Amino acid sequence: MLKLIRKRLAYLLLVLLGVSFLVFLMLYFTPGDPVRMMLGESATPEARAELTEKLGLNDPFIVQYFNYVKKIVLHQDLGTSYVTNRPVIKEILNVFPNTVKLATAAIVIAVIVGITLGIISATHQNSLIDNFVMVLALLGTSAPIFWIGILMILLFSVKLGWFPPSGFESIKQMIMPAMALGLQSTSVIARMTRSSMLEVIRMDYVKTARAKGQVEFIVIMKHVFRNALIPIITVIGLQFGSLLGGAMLTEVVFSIPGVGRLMVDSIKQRDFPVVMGSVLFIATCFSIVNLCVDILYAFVDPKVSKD
Amino acid sequence: MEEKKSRSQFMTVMKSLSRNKMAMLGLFILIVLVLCAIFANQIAPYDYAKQNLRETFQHPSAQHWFGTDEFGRDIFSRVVYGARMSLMVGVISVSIAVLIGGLLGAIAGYYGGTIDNIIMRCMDVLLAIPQTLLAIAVVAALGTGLFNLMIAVGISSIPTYARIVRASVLTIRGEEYIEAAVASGDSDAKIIMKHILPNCLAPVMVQMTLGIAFAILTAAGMSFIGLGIQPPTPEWGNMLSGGRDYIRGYAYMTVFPGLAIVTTVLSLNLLGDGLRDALDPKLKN
Repeated sequence: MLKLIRKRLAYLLLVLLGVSFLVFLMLYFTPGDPVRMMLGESATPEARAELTEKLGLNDPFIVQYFNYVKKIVLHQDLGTSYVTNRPVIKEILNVFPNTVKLATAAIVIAVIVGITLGIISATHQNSLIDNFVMVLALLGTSAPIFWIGILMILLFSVKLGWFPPSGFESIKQMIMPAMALGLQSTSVIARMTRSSMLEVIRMDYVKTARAKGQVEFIVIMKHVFRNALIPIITVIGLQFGSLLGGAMLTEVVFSIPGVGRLMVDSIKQRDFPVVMGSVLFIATCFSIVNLCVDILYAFVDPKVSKD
Repeated sequence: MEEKKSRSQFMTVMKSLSRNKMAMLGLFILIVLVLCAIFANQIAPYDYAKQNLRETFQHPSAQHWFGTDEFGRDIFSRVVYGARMSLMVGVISVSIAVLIGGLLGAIAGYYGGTIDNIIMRCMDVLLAIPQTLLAIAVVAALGTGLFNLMIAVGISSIPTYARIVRASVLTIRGEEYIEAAVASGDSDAKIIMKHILPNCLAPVMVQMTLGIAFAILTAAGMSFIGLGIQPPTPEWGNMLSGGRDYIRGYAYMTVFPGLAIVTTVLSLNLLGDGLRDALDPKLKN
């Protein structure tokens, strides 16, 4: 198990180095003069020259990249915002908890509802319930998150007045955004749970368990579901990544101050250090989640930890 | 012999697909949408950009089937022209991804070793960034607009096709006809282009169908937040964004563009699922 964790960690660091290179490349080639943006149009040529030297913008590309990585690794410094002049990492950490709350609430809803619906569908294959759930799941994966969010605001806030249309302080304010964001993941998890369980449900050991007189609930949960878990865990891990991307749109619809909304506002203000810093930050979080999913496999399937 | 085998496999797949009612429904809806996109000039009753300030915020009626927006523009016409934009973005961005990703995957799978390692580690780097986020980052670097949107969505999908083609190539590489081609002195490029890539088509076709659906959703999302196609060019995402401000009294401004997105993506998902089932060897038994 420790060998697996060490191997995966080393791989994670390699991938993150690659991501940092890609992010720096995009930052390097974005249009505009960062010095002009930070000092404004009225700055003197001497002031501009001094800041250019201080930021190392006259150095060759590879030296700039090396300094960029050094600052991240040693000081967790993702640069300075062109707009607020504050460290990018502070801007991100200020709003990151909201994005985590939103993504976590969405994945919890998606896992509970998705797995439940998937199990019901699989155990009632080709019935009315199964067809209904699968049609709903298909609609769920086809509907854009931002449209679902807008419709929810229209129905639950404007027409019924049950929930507030924006904000993220109380649990009541969190319900609609979490449901909107979690809908697509719920659908994907429901479909994967159903298909994974149907593969396992035909296995001989399941027939044997039934033939031995085992209670159907135990057969489904202990023999079928447990062995169907690995692809379901894969999908849940992948869904977290898509949730981080989808959170961006949800934050805009519901006016939630999160990393996604920070990115969108920064793009409009051409505050590229914040944009690229956010990309690197989220890529790191996503990679860590995938690492945790890989380690979780090893607990669920002992064959994986032996590899 | 190889061509005859491919033709009979194709017919088997088509037969299997035609028996899947949901896939056929998806195909039918898709054909209708493509025809709308091609013949938008003939189908749309009004010019999509024509403003009429005396007919602003008209609810759906016989004159304006989907109502009018804040500038008096006919929403039905804008939705029809929007089909052209969305399908164009979907097809072109996926084509970019298939061409670049497919080629990289074929090279990685065919040569193996260090080349395979380098290419797939580069793909892992791209995959470490959530797809929508990567597309947004590319747009941030390149700027907004139709062309940059297609490039951004295309780049974010490259790793998917690289992996699919690589997996197919690894399966095909050991086949006898490939060995025969090598023995007869064909160049690597000729073997990849003539023998290997055509036999990777099946899984790529499935992924392309689902990929176009995802590209349309991503492009609509980016236009919604102002990073994609800019108004007044009609695109379903930017129409939703514009309609959001008037949701209290004029919900139709967001309902119809949203329904258009759902219908298009659903049809592609149904067709893609059908193709996947038709090509799945396990389901044939």
